Amino acid sequence: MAGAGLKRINLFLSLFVVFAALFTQPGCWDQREVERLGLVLATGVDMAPGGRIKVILQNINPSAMARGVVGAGGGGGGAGAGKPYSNRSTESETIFEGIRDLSRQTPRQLFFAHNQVILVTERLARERGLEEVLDFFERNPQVRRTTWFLIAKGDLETLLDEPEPLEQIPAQRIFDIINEQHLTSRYAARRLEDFLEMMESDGTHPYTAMIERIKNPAAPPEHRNRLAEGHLAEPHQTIKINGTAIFRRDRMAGQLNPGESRGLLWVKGEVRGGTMEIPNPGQKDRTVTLEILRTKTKLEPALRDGRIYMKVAVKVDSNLAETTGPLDLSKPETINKLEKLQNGAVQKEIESVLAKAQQEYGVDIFGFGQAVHRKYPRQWKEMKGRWSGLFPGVEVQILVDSKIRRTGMITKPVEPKQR
Amino acid sequence: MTVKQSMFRMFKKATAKTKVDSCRDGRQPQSGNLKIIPVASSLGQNLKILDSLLGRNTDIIFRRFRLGLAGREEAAVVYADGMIKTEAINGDIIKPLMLESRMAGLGAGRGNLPEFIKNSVLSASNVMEARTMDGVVNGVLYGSAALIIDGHDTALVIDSKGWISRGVTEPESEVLVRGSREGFSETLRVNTSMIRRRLRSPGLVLEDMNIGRVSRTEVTIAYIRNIADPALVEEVGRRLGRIDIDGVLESGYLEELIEDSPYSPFPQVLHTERPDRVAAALLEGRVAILTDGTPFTLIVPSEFISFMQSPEDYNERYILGTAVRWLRYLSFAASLLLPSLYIAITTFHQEMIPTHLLISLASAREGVPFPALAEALLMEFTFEALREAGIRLPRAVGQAVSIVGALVIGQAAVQAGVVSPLMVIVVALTGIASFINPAFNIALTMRLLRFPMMLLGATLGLFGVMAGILAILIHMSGLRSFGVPYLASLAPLHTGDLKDVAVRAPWWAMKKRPAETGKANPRRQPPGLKPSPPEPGGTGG
Repeated sequence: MAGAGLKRINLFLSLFVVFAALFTQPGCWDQREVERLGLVLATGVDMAPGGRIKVILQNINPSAMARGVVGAGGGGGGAGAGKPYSNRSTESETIFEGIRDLSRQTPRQLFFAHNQVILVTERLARERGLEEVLDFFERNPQVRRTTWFLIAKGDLETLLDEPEPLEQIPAQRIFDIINEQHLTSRYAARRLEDFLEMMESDGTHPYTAMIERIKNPAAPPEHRNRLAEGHLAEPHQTIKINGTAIFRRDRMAGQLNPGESRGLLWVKGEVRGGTMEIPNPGQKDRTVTLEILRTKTKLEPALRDGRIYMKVAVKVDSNLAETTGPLDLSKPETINKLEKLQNGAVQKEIESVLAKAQQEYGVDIFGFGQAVHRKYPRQWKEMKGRWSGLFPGVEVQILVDSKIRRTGMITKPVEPKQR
Repeated sequence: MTVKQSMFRMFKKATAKTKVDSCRDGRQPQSGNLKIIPVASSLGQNLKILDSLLGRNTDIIFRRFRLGLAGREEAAVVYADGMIKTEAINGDIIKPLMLESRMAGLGAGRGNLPEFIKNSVLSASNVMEARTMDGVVNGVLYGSAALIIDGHDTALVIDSKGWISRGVTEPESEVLVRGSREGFSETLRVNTSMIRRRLRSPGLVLEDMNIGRVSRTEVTIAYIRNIADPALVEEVGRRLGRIDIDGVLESGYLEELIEDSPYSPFPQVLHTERPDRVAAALLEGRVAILTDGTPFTLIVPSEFISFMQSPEDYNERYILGTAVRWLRYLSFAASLLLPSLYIAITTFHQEMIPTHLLISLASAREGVPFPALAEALLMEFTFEALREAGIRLPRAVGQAVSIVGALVIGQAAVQAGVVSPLMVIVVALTGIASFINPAFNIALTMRLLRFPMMLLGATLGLFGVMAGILAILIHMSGLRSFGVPYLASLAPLHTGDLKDVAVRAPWWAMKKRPAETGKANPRRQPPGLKPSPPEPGGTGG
């Protein structure tokens, strides 16, 4: 009786020791407290002299950011909130080396899981190609493949340090702008995963949006510094996502303007919204603006007589958003006319980007090769080696089918009555 | 062994003074051998025995008097003062015997005097004959009066119970918005009457037994014949019968002595102080165990799910009952897991947190000197201490505790930067979630298991939390309550029972009793009870 009790106590004691060891000895090797993390919201890569690479990171300063939101208990909070972010940069042979090197100037452990955007300078993309920089982003477990991947014009240091009161972190600002991509569909931003997938496919070439600093049109012409009065004037510069960079394999080949960018998105079937300007059928020199609701694109390749045909069938639903000049919407013919005009406008956008891709650069950014591969897998085997030679000769037939769904709150345009 | 022997000797010495050899087997000094002491035919000898057993007690009254006109027959009434109705002793026992028996011609049939008295003289409803001292003493100690007549070896034990007890009040631990306001009280008979009133069927069986060598607590097993499984009733009786403890002061004593897995942190017996809940359980084929001296009644078998159910679910409309039930399931999970998930995610899986939340988390934790685990343990400890303090303190002081708690934890600790505001939110949510549980004992289990889960979350992250959940689930699926799997209705799955687990089905759809407990009599009601408006033009109305 007593012996069994002792045995049981021994069992519990040894179990206790085992668990105590389990909880204390591993040292929690993966453990890190949130406040010890240096959250990186943007990673940029630029060229550096001597074949080296320049890495720039945007770190956020949580306490400065959340002041007045979480730490409200403090009340005054007068002790200078500080800048909500800080940028760090170093030059090295590889990105990872640079990131580790940055720990020599960073008080926190750099953490990339919340990286919102990856920026590569146009210089690097054009002159050296992306092959040497993309490996890190694909290999590292912390970097998400859904991060936006953009090409930056000009210096990253200035681009990542433009002030914006609504979204104080420049990286977050870029991220939020891209999330509104569907409002214009005039640039084609790609996520890292999509970019890598296109780069590694033999039936398409990659592209992604470009970002640049522009002169801020809202800045007052007579720029006084009224900081003393507690007033910050609109900054001289602002950032804008402008156009699309297209690549031949990993090297940037050229650039599409906003209209051509949407042409590309039409073919890819990725136009989610935006505006179309078409001439007013009632008065030629006036404009009607349509708002795109939904679109659908079908690519249909065909091989006939040794030639490659590609049918691009686009379906567009849109609303009439604004007109200038007279327009009689009570007649169905007017709507028909508007639809025909929209067909033409869409066709023009597609043609412009086709011309550029086929004639000027000869890179298949549309994924025509993938479409051919899907439909003619056997023939593709033979074609894929010389696809870049075949692509400019693909005969593209564009079919657009527009529907105008609604015409807004009024039927007759605003028209001043004269006596 | 020597310890036992010396104790035995001490016992002998102590009891030797009473001159009645009452500890022959050394285990039951009070009552063990009373069964073999017969009631003697001499009143003097009987009173001597009783005096040696009970005489030192000031509350035991020995009333000697003479019967009838001639005053030949000497008799005595023995009772415990305070446990009887004085009017009953005076008016129903002594008065008829001393005065009214003259008219009845007492003494005619001298040979069968006790039976004559029982049948014709005493105007009390419950009179039993006792031939051993055991019956006499037990009766006296439970509010009966013992009538001993000189020259007869039969004592009459006359029920005259009547003591002051707490009345029937609202059950404080299970308050409902809609439902009976009656709760059990400490007196067993009052409690059984409340069940009897709710189930006026001859099928309701109340079986009594005495448990406790010293306390001799009356315990009642209640079940409905034809609904409860006879094997279950037998098993309950068997488990209660083997209890040999000195005192049963609360049903919790019994619970620990009859449960299936005594080492489990999970309660396997439901307790309630609501008669309507007991009645509902009996209708499902369960067995209730009522204990004298406590309002808490045990219900067996009890699966895990029944701890999640409140009588309110059945009283309110079923749609609401279903929603509230899900709220309860969620808060059950939250009360177990919230702190550990918070610790695991903030210290191991920061990539899972939305960016903006992570930023405010980081800024909130900026300057907090402790790791998340220490912070959580500190806050949980404070919270549990406050809760415990609030329960034990007098109501007037309790308020002060809650003010101190709210100020010290809620504000001062955050402002001082000792803990982060988010941790306060997590701990507060956990506390609220655990209060939502209708069964107090399962909430206690969650309170307890929360701490190992927090340690697991802090050392192994989500992996540790998952391991903890799995360990708990494995343990739970191995548990049984009176032979019924603890996770019954879910594992093993009884799809028909999900009507009372996943949802609370309307009463017209509750056609069958629970599969595990209602085996003996599965059908609860006929189909077709769903109300519907009469057919237009039809004969219905």
